[in-house]
Amino acid sequence: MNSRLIFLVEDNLSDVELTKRALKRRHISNTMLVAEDGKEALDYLFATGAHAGRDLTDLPALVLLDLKLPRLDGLEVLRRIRADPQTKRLPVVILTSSNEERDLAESYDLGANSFIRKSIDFAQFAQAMEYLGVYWLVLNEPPPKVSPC
Amino acid sequence: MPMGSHLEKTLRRVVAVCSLGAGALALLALVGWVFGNWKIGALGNNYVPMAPSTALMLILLSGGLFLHSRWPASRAARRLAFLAGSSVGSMSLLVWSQRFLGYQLPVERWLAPATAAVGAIPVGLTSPLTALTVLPAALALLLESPPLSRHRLCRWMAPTLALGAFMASLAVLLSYAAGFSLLYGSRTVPMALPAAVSLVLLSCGILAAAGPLAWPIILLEAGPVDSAASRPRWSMLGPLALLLFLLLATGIAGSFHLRQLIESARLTAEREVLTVADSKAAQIAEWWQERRTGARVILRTPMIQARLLQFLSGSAPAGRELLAWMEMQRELNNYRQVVLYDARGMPRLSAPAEVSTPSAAHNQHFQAALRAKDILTTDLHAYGEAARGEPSLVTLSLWIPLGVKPGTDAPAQGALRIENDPYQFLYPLIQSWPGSSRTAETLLVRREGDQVVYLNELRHRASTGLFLRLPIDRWRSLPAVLAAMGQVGVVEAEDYRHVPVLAAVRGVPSTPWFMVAKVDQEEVYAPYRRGAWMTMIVLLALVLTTTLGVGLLWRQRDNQWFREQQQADRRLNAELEERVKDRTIQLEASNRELEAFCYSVSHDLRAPLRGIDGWSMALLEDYRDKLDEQGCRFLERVRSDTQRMGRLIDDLLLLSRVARGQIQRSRVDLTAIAQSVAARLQEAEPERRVEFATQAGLAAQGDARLLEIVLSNLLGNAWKFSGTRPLARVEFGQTNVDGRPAYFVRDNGVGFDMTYAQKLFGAFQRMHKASEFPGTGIGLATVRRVIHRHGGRVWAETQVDQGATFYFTLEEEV
Repeated sequence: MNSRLIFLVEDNLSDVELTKRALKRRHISNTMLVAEDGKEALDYLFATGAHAGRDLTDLPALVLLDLKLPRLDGLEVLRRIRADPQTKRLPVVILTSSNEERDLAESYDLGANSFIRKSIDFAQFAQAMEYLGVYWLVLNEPPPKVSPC
Repeated sequence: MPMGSHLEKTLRRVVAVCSLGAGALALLALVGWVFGNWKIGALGNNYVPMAPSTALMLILLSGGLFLHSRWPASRAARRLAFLAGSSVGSMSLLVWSQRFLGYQLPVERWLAPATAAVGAIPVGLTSPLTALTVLPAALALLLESPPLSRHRLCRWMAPTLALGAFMASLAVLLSYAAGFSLLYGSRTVPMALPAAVSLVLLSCGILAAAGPLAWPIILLEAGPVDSAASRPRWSMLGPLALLLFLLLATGIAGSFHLRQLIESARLTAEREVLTVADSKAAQIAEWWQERRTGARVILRTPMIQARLLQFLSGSAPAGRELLAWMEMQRELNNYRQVVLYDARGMPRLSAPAEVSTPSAAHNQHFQAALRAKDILTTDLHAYGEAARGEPSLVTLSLWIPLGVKPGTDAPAQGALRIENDPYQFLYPLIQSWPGSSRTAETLLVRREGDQVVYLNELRHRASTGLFLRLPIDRWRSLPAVLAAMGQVGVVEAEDYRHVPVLAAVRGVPSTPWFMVAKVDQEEVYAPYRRGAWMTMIVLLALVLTTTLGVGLLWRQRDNQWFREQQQADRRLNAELEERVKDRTIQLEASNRELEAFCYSVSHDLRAPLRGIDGWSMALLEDYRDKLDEQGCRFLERVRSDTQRMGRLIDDLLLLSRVARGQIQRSRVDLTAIAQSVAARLQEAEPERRVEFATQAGLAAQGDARLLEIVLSNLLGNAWKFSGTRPLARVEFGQTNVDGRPAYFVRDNGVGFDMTYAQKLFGAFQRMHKASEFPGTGIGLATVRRVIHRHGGRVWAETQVDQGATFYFTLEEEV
């Protein structure tokens, strides 16, 4: 597992840029992988499509997942991740603008590790990202690797 | 339910009238007995009165019925009704059974003099028929009162029994109305007329007391009553009146016809008895004359006289010749015996030879005959002593004095006694009846002092010839007495057996006898009586079946109507349901659209805002050295407006969610919510000093999440608008408004002008300048939405600078 890699699934490029900038400014992570839609995210994680031939066991330390995504939405992506034995223990944090209770409930039901609401106040948002990075990349013990059988 | 309550009211009135009427009649009879004038309770001179025991039973029953229906809720009344029903039921059973079991209840003789009677019927005794009719009435009352009335079977049985009692007493009443009282003339005590009337009323009352749902009464009611106001009301009144009229007309016509039949039967019977009496009287008179003539021939023929006297004086050698003559006379005239006596009274010649033992009066008759100048008749009398129980030897003797010397006082020198045997001609004549009859008979009586003596053997009683003697003063209406008193014609009276008879009475010419030719009334009227019974039963059955038939038909018609109505209703309902379903689908679709829209808003509208804010901040962070102070201030304004926009979007989303979501009701602890909201507010602005007063133990039914939104908004407003006060005070509690609990949130803040109060709860309505008090103007609109969705209302009371109080109510707990 690449322990410093954050996998951001986000279609809003402004958000992507600003997130990258915020993390970089706070020296959390230099490497950030971005997928702009759900399909692409799954392709990367399961080494299919454009990412065919990638080492399957090379998983990011954290997936930041937006819910509203083109093609395949976040909840569906989460469901696939949890359904696969390779990725079922992967830390997934939902990062979204939505504050619908329904989304919250469903995310946790599907096994999200955390749920962060993107604040409009970017200062607050950047703060949240910093906490996230510190927590998941530094404090948190990653799950054991699933050995292929 | 206009008809139901109407019928119920009518029934209650019927019960009251019937029970009071029945009770009053019985009471009247009882009062009559107490004052010794029982004819009051008879309603007719020749009718039997209501017995005291009957009166007592009827008073108890009607009293019980009245109490029971007048105060149906009263326990005491119900108990009394039950007691009356059970006691009268058992009493009637005892009364009815006493004639089989051979005892007499003491109450049967209570107040009633033992000797009083109407005809042969002793008064003061309850008729078995009455007892048998009272029994079902009492049982019906018993079954109608709790606890028995709770059973379905009892509720069905009660009206049936009452109907039975009603029919029985009505039949008796009709028989009275037809002038033709049932059971009169038989050996049973008949039901008294007032008892019949009282019982008709009583059973009617008990029937009505069964209520509008009892089976014979429900026929008057049609189908479920509470539905459909425009139901056609088939009037029962017309057919009912027609039926009643027909019944009355038939009854009256029938009774007239019956009366005529009876009258003609009576006339025929009268003619018959008169003819028989006249012809027999004529025959007897003729026979009598023959006897007299035969004797007179002997008296008036000197040759015979001389021969007889010669023999008596002993101057004629032998009596052989005379004896032969006497024998010839006997045979010719059917005499029983011809005896020749000498002057001392010794029988000298007798044909036949043996002389029967003379009776005690024999000598007197002989002496009288010697002094008589003419033939002496000794009327029918017992000749000799008859053994007890056997018919005595009855005879009728003619004494012919012999050797009468006209113009002197000297007695005759002998006498010839001619003895007539009534069994030979007289009695057979009397006992014969032309045509066949079960009961008809003729009889001959004579008067002896204050007695009438029956001369012949009677058809209905043995050994009466000359032995049956009845005192005139105690048998004033006896046909025989009437005849002996000289009455001629036809009478209706009771004979020696106390049986009512139709009798022709008259004297028999030139004899001391009187003739009675009679036939039992029962025989004369029996066929018509039976016919009347049959007619009445058929008529009643006809009426009953017609009524039931009409009732059933009527119900069926009504049911048909209801069925059609129901079908129409069902069709309409189905249509409505279809429409509702369509609308619901449309509504659901638009709701889904709205939800999708809101979701998009919450997600997509916020993202660019965050971008604006983020890039503004990036500018500030990365290019601060290239911007002057004003440029930085502008960027700060961009950021604050962006955030304001974000709050607006959030509030709008909340308002829309509040309007759409399902309400999940549960018990909500309002006090706890208020306290947590207060704590949150204090935490957000720890520097402010605000006194929170929350009433303890406030709880309500509602959606916890939505009520928290309400309290957050109201308490948040109170917090906000009391911000200028050095000592702010916010209060949450409960009070009563128009008898319903209302919750309130009170502050001592700036308040607002009530002139604009109606705008207070609209969306985007603000009472204050944004620079004074920030806000989106959506909070109170959300509060109102939530409260409305809970079925309550929300309002405010305030004055500028005097603080504000917001009240809200929630729907009553269901």
